[in-house]
Amino acid sequence: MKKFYSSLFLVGAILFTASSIAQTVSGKVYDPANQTLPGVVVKDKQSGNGVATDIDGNYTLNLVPGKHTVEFVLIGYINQSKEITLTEGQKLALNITLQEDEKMAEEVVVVGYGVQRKRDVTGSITRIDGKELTQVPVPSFEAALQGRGAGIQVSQGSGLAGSGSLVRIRGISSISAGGDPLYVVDGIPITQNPFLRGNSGAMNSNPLTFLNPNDIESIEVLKDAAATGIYGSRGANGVVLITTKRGKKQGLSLDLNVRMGTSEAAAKPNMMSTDEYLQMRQEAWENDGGTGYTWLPSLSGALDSPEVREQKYKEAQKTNTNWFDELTGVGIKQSYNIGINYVMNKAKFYASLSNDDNGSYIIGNRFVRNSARLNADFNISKKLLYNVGGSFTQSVNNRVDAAWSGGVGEAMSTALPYYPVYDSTGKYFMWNGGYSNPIAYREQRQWVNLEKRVLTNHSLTYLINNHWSLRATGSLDYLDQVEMKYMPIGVNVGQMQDYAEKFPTWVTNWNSNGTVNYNRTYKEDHRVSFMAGSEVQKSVTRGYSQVRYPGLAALPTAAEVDADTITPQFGNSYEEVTTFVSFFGRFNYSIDDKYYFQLVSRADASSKFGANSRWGNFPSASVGWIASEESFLKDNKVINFLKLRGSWGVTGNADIPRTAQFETWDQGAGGYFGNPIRFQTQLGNPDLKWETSMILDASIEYGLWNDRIHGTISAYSKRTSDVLLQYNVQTSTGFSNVWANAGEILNQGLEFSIKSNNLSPESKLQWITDFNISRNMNEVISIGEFTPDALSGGTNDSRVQIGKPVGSYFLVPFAGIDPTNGRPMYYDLDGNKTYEYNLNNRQYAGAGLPKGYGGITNSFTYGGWSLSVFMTYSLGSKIFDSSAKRQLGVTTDWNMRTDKFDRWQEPGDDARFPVQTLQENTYGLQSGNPWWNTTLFIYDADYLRLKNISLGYNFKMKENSPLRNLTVQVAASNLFVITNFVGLDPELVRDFENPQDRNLSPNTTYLTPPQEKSYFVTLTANF
Amino acid sequence: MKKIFILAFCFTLPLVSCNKWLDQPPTGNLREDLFNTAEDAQETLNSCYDALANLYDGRIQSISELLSDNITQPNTNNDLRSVYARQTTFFNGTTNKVYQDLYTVVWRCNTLLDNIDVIPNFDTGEKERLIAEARFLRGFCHWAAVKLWAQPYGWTPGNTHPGVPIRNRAAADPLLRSTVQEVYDFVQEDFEFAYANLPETNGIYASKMAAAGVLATFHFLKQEWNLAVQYSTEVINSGNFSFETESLDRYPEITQSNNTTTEFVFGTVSTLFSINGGSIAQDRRCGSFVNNYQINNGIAELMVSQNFQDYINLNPADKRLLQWFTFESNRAFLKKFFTNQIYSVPIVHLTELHLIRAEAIAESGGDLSTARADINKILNRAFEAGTNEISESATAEDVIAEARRQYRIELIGEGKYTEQLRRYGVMGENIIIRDAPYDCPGMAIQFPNAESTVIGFELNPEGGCN
Repeated sequence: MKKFYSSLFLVGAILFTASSIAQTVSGKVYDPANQTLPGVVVKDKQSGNGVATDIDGNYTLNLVPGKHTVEFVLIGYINQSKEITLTEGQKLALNITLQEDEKMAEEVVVVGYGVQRKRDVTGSITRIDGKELTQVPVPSFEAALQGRGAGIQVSQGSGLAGSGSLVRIRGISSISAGGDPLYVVDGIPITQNPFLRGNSGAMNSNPLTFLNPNDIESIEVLKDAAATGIYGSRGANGVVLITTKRGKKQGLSLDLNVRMGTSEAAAKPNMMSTDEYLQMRQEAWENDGGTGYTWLPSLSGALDSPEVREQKYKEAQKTNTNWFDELTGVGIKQSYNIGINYVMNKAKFYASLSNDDNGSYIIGNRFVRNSARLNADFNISKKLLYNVGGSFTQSVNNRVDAAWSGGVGEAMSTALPYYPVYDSTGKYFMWNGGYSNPIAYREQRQWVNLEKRVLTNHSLTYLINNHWSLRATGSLDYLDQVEMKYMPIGVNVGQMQDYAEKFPTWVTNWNSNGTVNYNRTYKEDHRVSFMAGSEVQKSVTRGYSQVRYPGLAALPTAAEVDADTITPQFGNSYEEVTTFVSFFGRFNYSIDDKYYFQLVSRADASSKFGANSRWGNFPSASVGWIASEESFLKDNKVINFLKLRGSWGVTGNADIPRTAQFETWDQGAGGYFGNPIRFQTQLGNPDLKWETSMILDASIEYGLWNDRIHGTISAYSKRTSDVLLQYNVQTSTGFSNVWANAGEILNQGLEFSIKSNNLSPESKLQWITDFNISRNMNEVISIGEFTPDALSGGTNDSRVQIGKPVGSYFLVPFAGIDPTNGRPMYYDLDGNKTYEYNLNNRQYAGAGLPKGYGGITNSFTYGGWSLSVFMTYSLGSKIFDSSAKRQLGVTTDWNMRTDKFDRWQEPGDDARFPVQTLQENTYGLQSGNPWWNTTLFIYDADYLRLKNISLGYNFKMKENSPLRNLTVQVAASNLFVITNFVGLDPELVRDFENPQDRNLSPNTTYLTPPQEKSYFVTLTANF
Repeated sequence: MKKIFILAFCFTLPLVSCNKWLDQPPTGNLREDLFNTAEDAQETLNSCYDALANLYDGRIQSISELLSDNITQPNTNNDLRSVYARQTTFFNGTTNKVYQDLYTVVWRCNTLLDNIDVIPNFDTGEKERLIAEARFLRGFCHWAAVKLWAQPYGWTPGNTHPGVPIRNRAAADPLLRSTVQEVYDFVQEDFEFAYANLPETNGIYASKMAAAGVLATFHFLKQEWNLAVQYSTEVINSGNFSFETESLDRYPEITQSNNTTTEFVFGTVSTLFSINGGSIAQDRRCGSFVNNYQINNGIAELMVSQNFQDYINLNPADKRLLQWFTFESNRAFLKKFFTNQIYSVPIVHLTELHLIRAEAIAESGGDLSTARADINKILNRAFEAGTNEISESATAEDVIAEARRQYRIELIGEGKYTEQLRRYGVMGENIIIRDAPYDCPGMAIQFPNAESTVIGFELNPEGGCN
């Protein structure tokens, strides 16, 4: 404080001395909208004397007589210089209008509770411009981050419309707690949990789809502690800041965007036809010693007489259904978007309307989103600013089964080719005891998710003076999600009546924060700023376990529900409240625009933890040095920009269920013998605390040959301790799991990005290459006193193993096929070959997370033409083809893939797959256990994908035409992928069970639908 | 300047006293909310019975039965096929769930036992009854677990071979397997406490006679013949139950007023009850029996083995043949489990107690006339009265053989024959079940994967049964 007052004195003294001089130049500084600009530095270049404009944009500069160059400087505006000559005693009036510097404006980076100039930033932040996000049509905006920045790993959701992607920032440092980054839209940490309704079949509804990508101005991905530290406890897995568009250009302008396209499966499963299946099954039957015709699932049994088996076999030969083709086709996509910009004297507006109709290649699957947004900024007075923003989204997700829940999942498993869609009487042919037929379900069942979402925020900024300001923000994120199902009687055998039911969930998420901001420049070169604030957040999730409408013959309409004509039966209702309180501060100090220092601290408290471990402190410190400002580099011909920065800090994660710490109980009315019951439902752990990560980062930002080549190189280390684990508790507790803190995880990595202008900037043909690559090494250092099986992932294929990455496979090693008898062999723990498939011999079998990943974009422009080729790639991960254990294993009631033709048939054969059999014991498996988790189905998942290629033409418009700009673009996404993986697609996001499954088993494919391939035309017009 | 600090202070002031706001427990769902009165304790005990009834609706009985030679290989259920093949692994979802549910009963009983002292007022004797019932169920489930997840009692001298973990309080302490002897000692203590403290009758819930009946079967397996005779006699003579001399309908459909047969000593009950005096709701606790045994498209998941058919076919005059079985195209179905759709499931009943008393008397050199009378009660019901009685001159060996034979037939499907086969085995008889010795490794079901996550936990050896 003392220093502060002495500085104040110093500034006062300078002003006092200056005022004794009689000549002045004074006036006002305006922006292009004729608003006065406060805080503009007005400086005499000769003497170095300077002042800043006041709140009303006024300045008065005292000068000696003679020639002067007066410079007007404000961040975000183009500097202006004026040559003036003052005579003795002259008082010159000079008003100035500063033009906005678009280039500078772009270089402002959103950093959480504020913005910083890009060159001032000491943390690792990747900025992605909104324009890049809309180039590729994606099911949800987060998918468009793929390949756009180093350290951001994205696997796009498979096939289904509206499905979510798996986003990992600099690896994964959580096991049971959510490993997703924190998503913050215009300062609001939004509701982002994909498991709001647990696992509700096929792919869960993705809560991020509500955001219209066309509304996004920019996305900043915060990666290191210096950047994420301001989000404290929630920053450990990175923070994604989404800033929506606001009114910018003076006057009225309008952007129109129309896109039409198609969707088809990028790959099709090579399931066997009836003849092929029967032939392979017959071979298995005979190999097992069977005589006559083999028995056939759903038609005959092993105990049936040879005559019955033969008759059924011949009957089966008459049908050949390609179930995948029956279930898929070409989906139509269309989207319409209007954006309106209106800027007047004291107000700026941005408004948008959009309709996005996203049909997938799976028949019946379609996601439709309608959204509207209005953002407005008002200068209520010169000191008071009011910003308001809001969006309303309504979406309908027409769902279909996939993966384990049926649909195309069944087409790849139990839907045998000899099953007809309809039997001879015209009824659906049902199998699996009368429960399965994906066409019956698709045609008979109605299944939709309806979502309404409102996101709104208000903020008031009060400028106390040139240095101090206050800001208060309040926001609301309201989500109304309802899953509705209607199923008529008679589709499956187990259903005794029609049922219509819905599962409503409401999430209300309030957030408010207040900050005090200060910034000041001392002695021209010393800039000090700080921000301090506090924040509260409350999130309430309400819902019913189920609401049934008995006796309805279709889903109830909204009118029927409102009119109370039908009485629903309500299941249990629930309400879950989470509260969150924080205090935070950021202090920045820079000298000479060359040396930068930043301290950030945040204290967070969450209701998820008990009173003793509730508060967590998350400090960070960072420094930056722009070496290119030093004299030894200043005039370097090659290096025009060089910045070194480093940071240290602690961040945390608490993305766990609200009740994790509690021992909970419940009661039931009808209990036993008509008497009520009460009982414990969950093990508690009152000592649960924050998962914390200590993060180090060192980076170099470079610009060469006047920024023709520029980019960033970073190295980081993130050591996470007190990892939140929902470990498998001993079964003899009667429970399945409990939460605890144990273990450590280390992530280390390197990131490199480069953007180069490959041809001369004067050339008419321009070619820009944007390349990034990231290398992440992940290692589990400890998991406390647990064995690998204490934490399960996926389809029992991955486990947490000390010294290996999170998400590593743990499988019985395959040792080839005995050429004498065709039986598979395995390695035991001593490396000896054995016929016995023993789960105690499971070993590390590779990691599901990639070691390296990134993207390459080549953009060419020539006149009005532009061509962009965008590729993404992933290196060093393994994929476990979990479906193959049934599709390519023991012959069962699953269809097989044609890969299986390469099987052992007679002594001496060298084949990929063992002898055909119906008996698990032949493969060393236990009888009744065809689940064959061996390394035979581990593949390299390296791939290079042509994510998008687009060709556009920008029409030349007349000067006075109301249509300022018109662009037509044709494009294709996902045209090909280069990979050694033999399955459908090496890039996948499975229908995960829970966050732990999402973390531990990221690259397991289990009947997962393939990615989609799409072609589309886009028309953009700006008025 | 001062103004600024005041303003800044005002911004943060409302947040300072926020610790209370951060307490957001799941209201109404904590033990403090739900466990306070004698009634709450009773409802907690009810939940133990509820969990037990979920388990004894045919699930656990079928697992046990599949290890014997009474049943064919299951039709489609892979998990049950593994049990039949005696090749369970720690990923077997069905056996894992049965194991977990046994310990769910144990845990719920322990929550009652650990916390009952917080409840201030009980009517006289009520607290003792609650404790006795909880300990009875806790002991019962430990015993059920050790019978399936370990080799039998008597398999090693001193029973030092590994049994199952003893969970004697509601705490998730990491546990290793106790020896079979330790488990049996623990179980016996719980049973004897229950026997000493339970009321003579207790509705459909565990009574002193239920404890006596279970103790009879418990000591019988331990080859403690005199105790088996003593306890079974006490139940038979108690006057609380009566032997069904005519009806072979072991699983009669329940009515609103009658849930059990007269032979029902202990078991789980299905219930019909009216909601607010109106429509009738069902609480059905026999679902797995019906599902496993009933015929769908000419086939059932579980059917009667050829071995058993040959066994019972020796005497076609046996009324049970028609009453309990149905035969279609080489397949034999166990009709008694699906003739009715809703019935109660006895776990201890008079028929069993008569048969074990007969065998125990013969084994211990006791009064054979009582033993013969016990057997004749069964035979006179199964055949035309007086046509098939055991002869007056029958020796102890004859009594044992007939008692065992009737036990196998009378209790088919009830999941008890396997433990008798194992007893014969440890008594030194050459017991081969489907071509494998009674104690081949796979006869002990594999523990769940999660159970073995404690370092040092010993899994059962797998396979070894062909």
